[in-house]
Parts: sequence; C-alpha cells; structure tokens
Amino acid sequence: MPLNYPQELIVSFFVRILFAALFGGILGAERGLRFKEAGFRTHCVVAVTSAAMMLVSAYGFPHAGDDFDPAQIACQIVLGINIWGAGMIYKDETSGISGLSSAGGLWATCAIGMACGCNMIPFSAIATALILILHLILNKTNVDQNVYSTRTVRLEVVDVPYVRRLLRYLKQDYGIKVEACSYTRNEDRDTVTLTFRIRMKGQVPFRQVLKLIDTYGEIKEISI
Amino acid sequence: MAEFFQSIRDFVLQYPILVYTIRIFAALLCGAVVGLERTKRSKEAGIRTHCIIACAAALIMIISKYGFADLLNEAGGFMEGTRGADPSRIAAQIVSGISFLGAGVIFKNGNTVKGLTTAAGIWAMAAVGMACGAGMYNVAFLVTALIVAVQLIMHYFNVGNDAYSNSEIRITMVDTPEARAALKQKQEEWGITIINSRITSCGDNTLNMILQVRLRNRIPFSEVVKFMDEHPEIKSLSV
Repeated sequence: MPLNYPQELIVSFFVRILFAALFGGILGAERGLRFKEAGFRTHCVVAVTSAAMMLVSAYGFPHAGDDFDPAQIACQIVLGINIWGAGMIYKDETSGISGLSSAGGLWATCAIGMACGCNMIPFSAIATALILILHLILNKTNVDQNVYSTRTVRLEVVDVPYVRRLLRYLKQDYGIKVEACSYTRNEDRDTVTLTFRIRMKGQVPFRQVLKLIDTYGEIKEISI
Repeated sequence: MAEFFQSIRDFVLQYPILVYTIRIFAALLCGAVVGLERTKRSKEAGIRTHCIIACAAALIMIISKYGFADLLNEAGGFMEGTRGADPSRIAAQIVSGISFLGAGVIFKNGNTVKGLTTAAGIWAMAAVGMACGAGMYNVAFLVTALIVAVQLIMHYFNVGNDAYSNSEIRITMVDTPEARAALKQKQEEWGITIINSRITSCGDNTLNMILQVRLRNRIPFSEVVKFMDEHPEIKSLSV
C-alpha cells in the first residue's frame, strides 16, 4: 500500500531532522573541541537517527489499525543508545573509568533528537541550550573535578626528598592531587622509580617537562 | 505575595514549553546537588555526569508523556484513535537503558568489585530525572535530599564498613624478620584489613606480595617515602 502523506507533513519531517542535526552538532562540537572521543559527527548522527526513528515510529504505520502504539519503536531508542553508551565506557587499572560523561552526553543528545522528531523543536532548543550552558560553566569553573583528569606520572630519580619539593611545586602550579603512588628501588642503577597516579587540571606543557629535566639533574627519566 | 506567585503560576501553565523547561531545570538542579557530593570525593561520576543523566531522563519522560500529542484524533482526545497507545512506553525504557550504562561502570579487580555505588547513583539520578519530568517535584526533591544524606552519613559514620574502600597494595621485599615486623606495624597504623593476598617467593630470599585490602584513607606519598627510607630491605611498595 502506498503511503500518502500530506505535503506539509513531509516538509515538517525534513525540518525536524534538520533541527536534530543542528542541535546534535552544537552539542557534539563542544565535546569535539575538548578532544573527547565522541565529537561533532557522532553526536550529529545520533541526533538525526533518533529523530528519524521517532518519525518512523509515529508515522510509519498509518494502516496499522486500532491497537497500534506509536511509541513502540521510539521506546527502544532509549534502551539501544544506552547499550551503545555502555560500550563507550572503558576502564583501565590505573586510571579508573573514563567515558562516562561522554556516554551520558550521547544519551542526552539522543533525547534531544527524539524531541525534534516529535515536533517539540523549541523545547528541544531550550534543552540543548541548558546542557550546553552546563558544559560551558563546568569547563570554566573548578566546581567540577571533571576538569581534572587522571594520569600517571613516572619518574626515575636519584634524590627522593627532592621529589617531595617537586610535588609541592606541582601542587601549587597545577593543583595536582596524588591518588596513589609506587616506590621502587633500582639497585643496579642506584636510582628510585616513582610512579604517581595524579588528578590534575589541564596539561603539563611539553616545554615545562623539558625544563624539569634541564634544571634538575636528579631526574633521570620522566614520563607524563 | 501569594497572589504574585499565583499569577506567575497561571502564566507558566499557559505555556507547556515553560512547564517542560522548569521540569528539566529541576532535574538539572537535583543532579547538581547529588553530583557535587560525589565530585568532592573524586569519584568517577561527578557533577557533569549526574546533571546530564537527570536532565536526559526528564527530557525522555516529557517526550514519552507529551511527544505524541500531534497524533490527536478529530475529537482532540489524546491518542484515542489508537487503543494500544501507551504514553509510559518510552519512559519505561529509561529504567532498563540506564542500567546498561551502570553495568558498564562496574568493574572487577581481582576478587573485589568497584563502581557499584557510582552505578547505583546513576540509576537513582535517572529516577529523580523521571520524577521531575513527570512533574512530581516533591518526590524528586525528597529522594535527592535522602541520597545526599545517606552518602554523607555513611561517609562520616562507619556503618557496616561502608566508609572503607578497596585498594591494592604491592610489595617486593627481602624476607627478614624486621621487614615483616615493620609491615605488621604499618598495617595496624594505617588501619588496613587484608581481604586477599597472593605471595610469591622469587628465590634469593625475595618475597613478592599482592594484597587486596580495605582501608579508610589513602596512604599519602610522604608516608610511603618515610617508610621506605626507614626500611631499605623493602625494594618496592605501591599503594
């Protein structure tokens, strides 16, 4: 049976999908600019897809009869995207879990796409703005420890007390917090290898790392 | 004053979009309150994750309840043309969906499991978001307050050992009675309970130990350095 939709409805479908792409793109761009795994393209595709699925769910079965539920397909979007999100989360022994906010953000993008799909475009715009503002505020302020990232620092040094001073200096300059540490003697070389798991804000510039090596002869090897 | 609020209320109720916006904003607020407490303790899921999840759950709830309103029948009855229509169907999938995300957070480390509370917190945030999305603000705020209260109380008072966290300690040492005595003393001093241990003898009198432990506070770097300075027979210690 052919599906005969009125012309205005088809135009409306296009508009909804385009807005989904726009809102998904805005959220994705913010993530992409901060070098997260899922960026502009992923978010755009997710938003467009959820809008499309929403349309299929609501309008795809005009001959379905009385018992039809227009939310049947749409409801599985919510479930499906979370299985996908679970796959985005990864763990490693040293730095714990990453990708949780990315997975949550993808879920929110999917909801925004769905809102576009069911013609709640102004509301969808408000929700996008709200989430974007949340991200921007949290990026700027210190409230969120998520501006801190977990990383592992490995140092090979001759003089251990010196490292204590170095840590103090790093604490002041980069606000680092030591979460776990490891101390190993290398007897053959008469040095000590120290490994730290730290939470720090931003990146230590390569220049600074080089300067550390240049200034202090006690450090034999450093990796951040 | 009451009249003023009443007039605001009447104004807002005229525009569904304002009502929806207030709902997702309330969800965001609840997420921020719970997330802030988690953030302060450097957990994996912080304020950002909690906010987004609560917000998305509220958003999906609103879509579920009101999203199909353009499928009205001629008489204006909501979804009455389709008897099978169910406005809670999409919302129902939030519950199972968010659990997948939670399952992704939990990980096994030897014989201990980490991330359970984080996963449960995410699930709770989805529930709070759903309540906000449905307009049940009082339930949402009550649950938020309860979650924060439980987290704080459990952290300060050691009910059922919940204030302890799991961690791993690795030691390589030359096996002397002094070293063993020193370790035993430090174990008591740092309040460490050993749950699981794997000890390997590596020949030439060297022991390699991997211990799964429960402890209340992290062992600071300065303590490690001090301990290592005093005991040269311990070759390596990671906490």
